[in-house]
Amino acid sequence: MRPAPSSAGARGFTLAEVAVTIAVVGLALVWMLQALNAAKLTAAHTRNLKLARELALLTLGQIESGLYSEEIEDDRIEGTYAEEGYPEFGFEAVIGDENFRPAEDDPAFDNWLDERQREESEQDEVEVEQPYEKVQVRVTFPPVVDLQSELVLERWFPWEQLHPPEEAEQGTDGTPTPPQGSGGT
Amino acid sequence: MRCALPLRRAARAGFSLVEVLVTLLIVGAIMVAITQILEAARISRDTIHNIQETQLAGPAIMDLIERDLRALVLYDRPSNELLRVVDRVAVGLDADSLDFVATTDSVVPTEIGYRWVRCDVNEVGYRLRPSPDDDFLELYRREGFGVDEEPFEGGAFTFLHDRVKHFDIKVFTEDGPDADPLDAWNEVGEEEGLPLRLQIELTLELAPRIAREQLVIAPIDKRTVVYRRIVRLPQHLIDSLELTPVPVVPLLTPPDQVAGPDSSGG
Repeated sequence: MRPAPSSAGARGFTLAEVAVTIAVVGLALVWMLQALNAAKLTAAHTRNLKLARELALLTLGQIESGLYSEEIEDDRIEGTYAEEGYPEFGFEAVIGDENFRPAEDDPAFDNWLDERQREESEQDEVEVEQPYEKVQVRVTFPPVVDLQSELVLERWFPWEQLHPPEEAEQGTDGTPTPPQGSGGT
Repeated sequence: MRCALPLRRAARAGFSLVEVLVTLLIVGAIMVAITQILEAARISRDTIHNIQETQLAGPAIMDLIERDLRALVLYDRPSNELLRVVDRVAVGLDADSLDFVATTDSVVPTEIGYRWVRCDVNEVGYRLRPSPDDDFLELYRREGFGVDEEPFEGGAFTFLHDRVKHFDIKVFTEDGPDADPLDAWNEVGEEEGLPLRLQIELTLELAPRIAREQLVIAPIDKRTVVYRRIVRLPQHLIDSLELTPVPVVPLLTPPDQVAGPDSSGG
């Protein structure tokens, strides 16, 4: 019986070695599966981002060509892309120096107070005509895991294109205002 | 004697049944695990392909069209040869064509003499034709070197996509939601000037990979994807239709007559 342990030790692995090997290989396999899953999630997120960019460009084009001419006076346009076939995508566009609405799950922010303050500040604020007006579009979509779930695009439009001159300057004279500054681009 | 017998038997007998069974079990488990990993990798690849595919070609084509349209040039061009949109139908599918002159650099170099050159101003167009193999349309970008007498014809065609289901362009002459869409613009060379905006719709039918399992996070079963863009032509371009600059060779005088104060009109 004496030679048994020595011969076994020379021939093969001990139980501890095999157990460690299996554990390492198992960890590697689990890690690989996780990586595959993470790749899928990242791809879905990238797709959401690119789709959001596409939809935001569409919205910018719509604003630029006056499709939202009535909502523009409120300096804020909101909606979803259900018409385009993506009901889970929503957008919010703000004109000028307005800020986007804070996220709904932000408990520290008083939405109503903010709303009232904004209305008050808008009342005494006189819009000074500039050569260009800033338009920001924020597209929000359902988040994938904890990745960022919004995309903001910004574009500057000639002022008259957003605020048609016939409302502002109807009283003075009928001639359209000359395109100022727009030739420089 | 008691020690020698079992030792000799063990040395002769090789593995016991239990050892072989355990080995088989372990090898089997390893094989199953490897197969599952490979399968998972394949499914992941297909899923990622399906997810990403909808955002690869379509937006790139739309970006290309928009970039060309924003580079539309009308300097020193006859006002009825600025833009042409023709409402066409091929094999029952909308296959509008779009042609104009743009300041995008040539993509395809042209051999002139012994040199390959690119031009700064080119005729650009987007054309479709029925695919010879199936019921789809093929989308090509036309690019004519420089500008010639027929800006809407000729040039080299670059292949863009071969699974187009619908390519529709609507033209609007005024801003706002009530504007009436026109299907064509300057089809016979009568309309002058430019429309205010173009609405471009491109429908692609994408080829899915084998794995069609759906992810909740991204509905990838949607194989027919519509891409829509609205391009409002820049206001300075529209304005410059009315203020047409005419290139004039300045009157140069010999150096000894420079004394005249008003000879150099700038």
